[in-house]
Amino acid sequence: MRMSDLLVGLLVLLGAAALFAAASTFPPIPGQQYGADVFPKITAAGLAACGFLICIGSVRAGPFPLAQATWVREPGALPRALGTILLTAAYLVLAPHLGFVVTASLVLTGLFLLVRVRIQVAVPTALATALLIYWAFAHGLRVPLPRGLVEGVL
Amino acid sequence: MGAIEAGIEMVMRWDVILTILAASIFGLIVGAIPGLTATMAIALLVPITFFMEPLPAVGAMIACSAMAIFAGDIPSTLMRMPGTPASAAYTEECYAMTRKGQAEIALGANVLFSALGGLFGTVILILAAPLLAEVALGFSSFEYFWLALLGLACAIFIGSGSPVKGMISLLLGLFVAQVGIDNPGGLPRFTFGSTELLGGIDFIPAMIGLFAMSEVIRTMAAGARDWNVKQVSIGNPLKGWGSMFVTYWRQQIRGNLTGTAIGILPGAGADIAAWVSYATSRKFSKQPEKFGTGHVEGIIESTSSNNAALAGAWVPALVFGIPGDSITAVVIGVLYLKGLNPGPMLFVNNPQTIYAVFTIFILANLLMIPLGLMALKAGTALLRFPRRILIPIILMFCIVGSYAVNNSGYGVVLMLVFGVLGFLMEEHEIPIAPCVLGIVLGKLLEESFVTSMIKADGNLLAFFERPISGTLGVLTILVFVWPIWSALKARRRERAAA
Repeated sequence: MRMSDLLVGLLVLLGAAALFAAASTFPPIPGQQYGADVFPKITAAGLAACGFLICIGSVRAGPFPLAQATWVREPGALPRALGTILLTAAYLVLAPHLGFVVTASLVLTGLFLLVRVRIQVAVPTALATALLIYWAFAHGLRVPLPRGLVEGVL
Repeated sequence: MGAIEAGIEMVMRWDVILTILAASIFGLIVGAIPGLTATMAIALLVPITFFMEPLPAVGAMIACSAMAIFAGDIPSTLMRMPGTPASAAYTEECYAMTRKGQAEIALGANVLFSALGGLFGTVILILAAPLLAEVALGFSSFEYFWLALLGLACAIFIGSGSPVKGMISLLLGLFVAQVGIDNPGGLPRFTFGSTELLGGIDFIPAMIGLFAMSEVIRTMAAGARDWNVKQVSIGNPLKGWGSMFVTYWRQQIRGNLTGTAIGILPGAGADIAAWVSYATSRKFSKQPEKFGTGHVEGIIESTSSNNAALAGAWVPALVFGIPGDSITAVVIGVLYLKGLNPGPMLFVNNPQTIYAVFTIFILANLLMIPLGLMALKAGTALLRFPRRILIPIILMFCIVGSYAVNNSGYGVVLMLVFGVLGFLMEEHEIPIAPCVLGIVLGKLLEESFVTSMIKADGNLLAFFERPISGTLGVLTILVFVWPIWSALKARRRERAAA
């Protein structure tokens, strides 16, 4: 999914305005002219200039669609991209409760199924990978990955 | 015992050597898989180096990046897909050789001249870095400001694509660097009340997101289909080494020189070096008509160049703490974490570490020949590994790696946010590298700018008063003005023609 350059430019302009407004609320360093607000303001000015240039370039280039469906035309592309993002978010929510091995196995199975790995391959591969990563990181590198449901087992 | 001997001794320990060996194999595998870049290899390696002593950590990154840049040539040659962007410049040429049944000659040239290029870059690094460090000892905030700005300017204008979009990416990076309490006023900026954001945005999860997660989303969206690997019989890759070395010594040296110079330039790295060298080779060739038809000349020059650039990029990274490319940008982050703050004082206080780093560079490039030859044999088998299994596993490594940085889910949140951001940026042809340099250089740029402004009492001319600072300032302004001027000139010419 691709927005037109005009939309990108407008978004950048909007972001620049918000950044400038936020920076204006930063109090100065007492007795100094230059403080925490200077750099964010310069950044905002730069972003505004870029946004403006992109808008102009886009308008000059003539008629344009607001958004182009590039790879979205390919069947299943959007669900697969969103699925990948949502499964990562699901890991964040579930891992503290279910623990690493269970959550990672579920997330990996989900990801495998998204790209059409057969379920009889997906489940064992996911479980084996989760166990291997757990072993390497939790035992090898001493990263305290959440144990959750398998507390006391591993 | 002198610092040189002490440095060599630091490397000659079994744990360091084993780490280098393991990181080399990891780099070869990641580099050989199209879509997975050398920077991504480094980003995935960083969480693991976290648990190492400083020297093996640095060694792992040097070896991994050198091997990944070379290994990118393998899928270029075998299936016309560059393994890393640094191989893209001469992919067509390598594949044309394969079609002529000369895959082993192309691959052999890649191994030999990559290693030699890396060694040449290392020699320059060894000679130039200590000299520059001495000069850098006298630098003040003015010089550092210009150096940081020069690095950022090069990243925008030397890279391909639209400079305005490069600039947006850079400013985005600068904004990210502004988050947190570590700023001239000691004021919490853009933290939205979050205590985790007070400490700023963690560099490593951001990097894993931008380089690895974004690629995972893209590949998943495309269905992670397997590659069509044709069986290519690879003969003896050592064939023709002697004659290539004798016939093309000029191309090799020119590639080495160009690569090292581009590497040293802050902000430009191996991929740009390869493009420039391929073009130079064609321009000066006695047989330019053979380019593109499977001619080894251009391959030798550009494959020498990209590996030389890798070592060159370490010069500004070690001496000034200014990254020469996106790989050294990540490396600098790690050096800080390990207490080896880059800068001229590292050469004064810790010369043995510097010599140890040099030793690792030599070792890694020597190792490239035997390991590279083995990788060629394993190349086709590696490319047959199903991508639909590989990509989800990489995502799991991204998650665990980001978690391991602080042992908290916050790292994973950052990784995800930056992953989506990186994906959207590339969808809109906004390059990622300037953003990364912005994140790394943002603090230095702001600190040196505000300090200088306070010192000069707001007088901008003070930025040009010291000789080195003035020269750097003019150079930086030229890098900014030159593309605008040449664009205007081109437009005027177009109008005149119309």
